[in-house]
Amino acid sequence: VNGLAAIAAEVSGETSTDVPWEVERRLARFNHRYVQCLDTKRLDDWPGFFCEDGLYRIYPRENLEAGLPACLIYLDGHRMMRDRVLCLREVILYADNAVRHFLGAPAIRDEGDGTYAVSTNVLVIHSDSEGHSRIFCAGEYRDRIVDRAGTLAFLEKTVVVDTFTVPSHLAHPV
Amino acid sequence: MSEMQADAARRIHWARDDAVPYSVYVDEEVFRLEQERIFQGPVWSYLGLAAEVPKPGDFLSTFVGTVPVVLNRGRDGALHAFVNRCAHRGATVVRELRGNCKVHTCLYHQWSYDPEGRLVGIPYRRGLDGVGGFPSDFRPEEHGLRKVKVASIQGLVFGTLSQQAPPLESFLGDFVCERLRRVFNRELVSLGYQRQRVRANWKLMVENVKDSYHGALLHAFNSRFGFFRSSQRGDVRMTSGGMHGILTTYSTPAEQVASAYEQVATFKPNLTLEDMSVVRFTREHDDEIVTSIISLFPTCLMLHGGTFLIIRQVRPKSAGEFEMVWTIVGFADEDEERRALRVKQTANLLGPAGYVSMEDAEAIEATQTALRGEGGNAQGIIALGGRTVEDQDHLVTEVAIRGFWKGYRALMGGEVRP
Repeated sequence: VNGLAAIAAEVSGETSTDVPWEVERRLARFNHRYVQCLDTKRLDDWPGFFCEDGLYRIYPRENLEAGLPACLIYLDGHRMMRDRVLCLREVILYADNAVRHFLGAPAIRDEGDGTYAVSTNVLVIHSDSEGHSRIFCAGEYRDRIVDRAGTLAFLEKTVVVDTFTVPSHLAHPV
Repeated sequence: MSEMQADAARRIHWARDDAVPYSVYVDEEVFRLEQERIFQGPVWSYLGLAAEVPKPGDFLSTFVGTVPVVLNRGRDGALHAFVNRCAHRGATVVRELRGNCKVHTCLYHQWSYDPEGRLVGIPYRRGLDGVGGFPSDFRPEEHGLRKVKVASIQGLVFGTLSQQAPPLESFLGDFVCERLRRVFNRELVSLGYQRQRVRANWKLMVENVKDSYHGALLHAFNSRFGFFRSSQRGDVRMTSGGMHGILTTYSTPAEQVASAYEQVATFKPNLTLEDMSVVRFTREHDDEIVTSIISLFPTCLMLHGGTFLIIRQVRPKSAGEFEMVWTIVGFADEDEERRALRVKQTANLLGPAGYVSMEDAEAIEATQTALRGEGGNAQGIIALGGRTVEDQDHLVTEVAIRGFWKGYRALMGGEVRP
């Protein structure tokens, strides 16, 4: 299936933390800013974390392990990302829960040419209008981040979700 | 009427055939009776695709109602299914979602079974050093895993726990079989799964799919991009007395549509997408059918249209919760470009994160929340398009929902008593 071998290779790549600590800190801070954007629901700013033709997808661990390509979200470039934001703002009715992302420490592989493969554990807690909280998603960011003239951007962000049975529905990006 | 049926009838008061008593969605005793009379009753439940277990020894774990079931390709190449409960002490035998093996071994006392569910190994059967062991009249051939009867149509595999179920094709009815032969007209392949846990009764999900009323009203995305509209030329056909229903839409000139939306609050005529690739559909078959929404009693929901070839299996967990598993299906002979488009369009429009489908989970959870507390005789109305159950040549109707409840009452033992 299309790009499947590539998907499996990308997301299972070996990582290490033997990059300079300044690099590690910059990359971790970049993901930290990314989740702050989501927690504060500044969705209009969200596509700006990606390269113009960057890829964002939420990929169930079940499919990763079975070698199957189906995703929960698949957005290819800024235009599709802006469309999702437009739909969330203007079109779709969904439960607008309070959202908190919690990140682990990154594991990093320097791929050269200012590109880094970065994987980071992520936990997302949703709290509803009555103040009830639940784990929305446990998973891992499998990112490829590029440094272009001092500015970081996601070439690709794949969220591999262990919580592949989605609690209710999945509206906002993770 | 048996004593049990009288019980159920007392619990649920069906005062009208164009209304649904809300207790049917929240009463845990009703949920228990459903497992016995519907899911373990004379119906066929969807288990999976033959293509998901292509080789001898391939298996997948699924459910019939709340009963865990394994679909297994036997060493003989035939399809087998069995209840996933060890014949010895009841532990779960197969603990993976899918895989391939020659023998299933229970973790607890290591009783082992072949892919057809036969008991083939018992530790210490003859005892140890001359002591213990099972009695000499213990016959392993009488202690296999409980068989689930299997039948398939067009690569779709169904199972039943009942000896009373009619043959699969009689259960589905001619019209449904014809449509399945048209939609699933060649070798299939699974492209993966999406799952969601919804805090609502399973029947609200089944009704949602039979409900052509909400399509253009709840789903603003649909109405803007012409994926589905109530005003589109369409019809509702049912089989087996209303149990199974197919909502079909046919190609129609776009200009018929505009006026139908003037009074609809969720319609956003100013909406435009920057990237239209998610809604650029190409037809799969060369006929006038645009969309087939097929719901098979009790819990198999299929969608075909554009690049969508979807099978949803609703797995009830309690009166107030179900899991829904979406299988994204493709054809074995199609190219990678078509598969990539299926994956992209399905992910963005359907499933728990899709622009269209996520609203369904939200709407039925909002329903369950409101129904949970009250009890009493409150009921919901299903009178759009009349009060009876017969095929209709339009989609401004709740007739398929009325058909579902007619079939439901027949199995559960309830009658309409004003």
